[in-house]
Amino acid sequence: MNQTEEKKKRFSGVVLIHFSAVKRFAFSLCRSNFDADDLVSETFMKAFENFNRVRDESKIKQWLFRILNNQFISNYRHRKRIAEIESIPGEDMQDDVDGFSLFEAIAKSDFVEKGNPEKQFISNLTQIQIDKAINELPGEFRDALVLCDIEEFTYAEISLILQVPIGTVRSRISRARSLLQKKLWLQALEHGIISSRKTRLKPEYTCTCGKDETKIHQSGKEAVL
Amino acid sequence: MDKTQKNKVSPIDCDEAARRFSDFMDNYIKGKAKVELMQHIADCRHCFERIEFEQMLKAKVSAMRKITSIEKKAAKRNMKEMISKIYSA
Repeated sequence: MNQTEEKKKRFSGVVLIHFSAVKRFAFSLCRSNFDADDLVSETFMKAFENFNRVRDESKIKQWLFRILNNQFISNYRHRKRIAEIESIPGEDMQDDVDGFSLFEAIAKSDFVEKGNPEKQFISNLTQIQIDKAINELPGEFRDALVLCDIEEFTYAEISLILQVPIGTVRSRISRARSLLQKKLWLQALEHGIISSRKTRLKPEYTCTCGKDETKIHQSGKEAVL
Repeated sequence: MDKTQKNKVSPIDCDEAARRFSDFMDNYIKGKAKVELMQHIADCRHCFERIEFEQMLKAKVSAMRKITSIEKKAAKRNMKEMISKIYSA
C-alpha cells in the first residue's frame, strides 16, 4: 500500500466516523442543508490536507469542529449572522428570558397530568419540538448548547472550538438553556398544550433556605407569561 | 479574611441555587460552591425537583444526536460523494 492509500485508510478510520456529528454542527451553524453540505465538504477537505500534522488522534473530533467553525467564520458568518441578527426580535428578547424557568412556568399553568406534571411535560416533548426550539435560538447560544449537550464536549473543548473564553462558554450555555425553555414554553402555549392560567396548586414543600415559601415559588426573574 | 472563613460553607437561597444548576449539570462546579448547592438541594424539595427537571430536559436534548436509519443512509450517501471529491482533488 502506498503512502496516499495508507493516509486515506487512516483518514476514513479516525476522521470520517465523525461525519454525522460534523454535519449536525454544520447545520446548526448554517441553518441550511445546502450551505451545511458545502461547509462539511470544505471541512473534510481541509482536514485531509492537514491530516499528516495530527499528533493526538483522541482529539480528532475537537480538531474537526475547530476547522469547521473557522471555515464557517471565514465563509458564512458575516453574511449569515447579519441576516440572523436582523431576523431576531433583538437583544431585548434575551434579556427578558434570562433566568426563565420552564419548571416554574408549568407549575403555575393549567397543565395537568397524572403523577408529576412538570416531568410529564418533558416526557411528552418530541424530537421535532426540541429541534425547532434549538433552531430558533440565536446563533452563539445555539452553537454552545449543541456542542455541550449534543456533542458532549467539555467547556474547555468548546472554548477551543469557538475560540472564546471558558467564562463566555459557561454563560452562553446557561443562557441557552433558559432560552430553550422559553421557546418550549411558547410552543406549548401556541399549540394550546398549556395555558398560563393557574388552575392547580403546587404540592406543599418545606424549604429551609430562609425565604418565604410563596416568594420562593414565584422567585426568579420570570418572563411575562 | 483568613482561609477558614473563606472556605466556610454558607446557606444559599433558591435564586442562587438556580444560578448554579447549569454548571452543576455539566460537572463544572467544585468545592465550596458545590457543597453549598448540594446542601441547599438536600433541604429544598422545590430545587431538588427543579434540578431533576432540568436534567431530564438536558437528557432529552442530548438524545437529539441519535439519528434515524433514514438519516444514516442519507449520511452514508453524502459521505461517499464527498470522499470521492476529496480523494480525487
